[in-house]
Amino acid sequence: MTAQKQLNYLQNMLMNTSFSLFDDINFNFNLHISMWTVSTVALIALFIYYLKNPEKFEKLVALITRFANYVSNKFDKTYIKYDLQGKVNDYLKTVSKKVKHIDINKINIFWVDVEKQNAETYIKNGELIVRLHKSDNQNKNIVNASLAFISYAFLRKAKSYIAKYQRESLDLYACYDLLKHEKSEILDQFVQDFMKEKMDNNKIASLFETYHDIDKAGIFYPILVQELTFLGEKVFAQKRDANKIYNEVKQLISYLNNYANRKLREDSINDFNGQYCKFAIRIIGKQYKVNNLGEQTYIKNIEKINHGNETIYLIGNAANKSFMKSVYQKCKDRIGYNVLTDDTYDAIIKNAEGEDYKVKNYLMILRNNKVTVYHRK
Amino acid sequence: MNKRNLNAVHDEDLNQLLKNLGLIEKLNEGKLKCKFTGKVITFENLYSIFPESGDIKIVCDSPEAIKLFTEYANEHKF
Repeated sequence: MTAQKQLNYLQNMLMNTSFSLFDDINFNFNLHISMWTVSTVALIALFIYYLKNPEKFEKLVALITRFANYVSNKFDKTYIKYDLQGKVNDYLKTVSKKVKHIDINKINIFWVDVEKQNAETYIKNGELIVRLHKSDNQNKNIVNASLAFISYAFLRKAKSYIAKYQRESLDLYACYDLLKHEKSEILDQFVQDFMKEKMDNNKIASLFETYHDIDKAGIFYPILVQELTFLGEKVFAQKRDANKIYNEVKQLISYLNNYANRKLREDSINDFNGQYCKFAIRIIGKQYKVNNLGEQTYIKNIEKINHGNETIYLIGNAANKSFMKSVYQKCKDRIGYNVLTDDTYDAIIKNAEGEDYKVKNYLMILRNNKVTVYHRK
Repeated sequence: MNKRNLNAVHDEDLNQLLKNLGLIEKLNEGKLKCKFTGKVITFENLYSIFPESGDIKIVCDSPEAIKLFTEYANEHKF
């Protein structure tokens, strides 16, 4: 049978398929699926996907124009723009899913029309202009733009109040996190240009390592950055003591580091009761408790949490997700906390011997209804 | 999520921009200095341009300058 005949045979089979399960029941399908229909459905699905994920579309445009750039350098600007936007905006989307209330905007590279510029109007009404290199030097563009963007936009409010070494270490870690999944040359350029020098500062280097441990436990963004975001919202409208804030942030980082390094089955750590950050972490995980004692043990535990806590972080194995949701549902009317967000994430925690092992965790963030937000936007 | 514009100039347009802003001669003579590090600005190390107090300020691409510049931009709400 020739290839054409085989194709015709398959088409006929698809268009008129019938079979019977029993003698008296016949199922008849009349499938008219043409390549045109398949392509249309696929295109619509792609369109919806890219509409929902514009940063992925930016990455697609970057990929196409990267190849087009080999043919003509007319595509250089388009490639630079979409490659940068795709990378930064993809990171932002991930972070904004993990951290609520984070006040951060997506980036849009806008090429200035140089013909319209002159010294007089630029001095009067001009805006900041950043130079971007040709795409031969795109790694440098990515590193420079990423650091500038993180320094400018990431935790903008909280960074106005925390100590310089805390601010710089957070920027360095966030930028490292943004770039760590890119090709190794980009990360290397970042290390050579920025990190190496900053890591000579012991305070920054030590905090960077601590963030790394906290992030391994899956709580860098959902708890540390989240609490700093809340802190930024709060101190805006209050008389503040800079040293108190520096110390509180130092204690917050140390508290979360203790949590990140705690061994399995070690007792829960105390609530964090600072002037600006007040929260509790509860672990819903001991399997014998979940299986044998059931929901009531945890409901009582959550109801006992001091209501002065503004946030409660409920953490458990992802297998306990429905159990945790059910526990919350049964006590939500009495505790006065609403679910701010929930998420499943990969974490590396310590076993009873202190060795690392991987788990899939589930986190529910509950926010006290009475918390006043002074400055969200 | 809202978008924030970042004005940019491509390598190919930089020369023209500097000409239009009346900076090209100073650049060629080595008279332009980085606002933050004081380094002499060249075509290779120029990172950013912004107007301030009736003048045009230039920033070089050293890590320290970029860092100081972003903090400065943050404080001054660029």
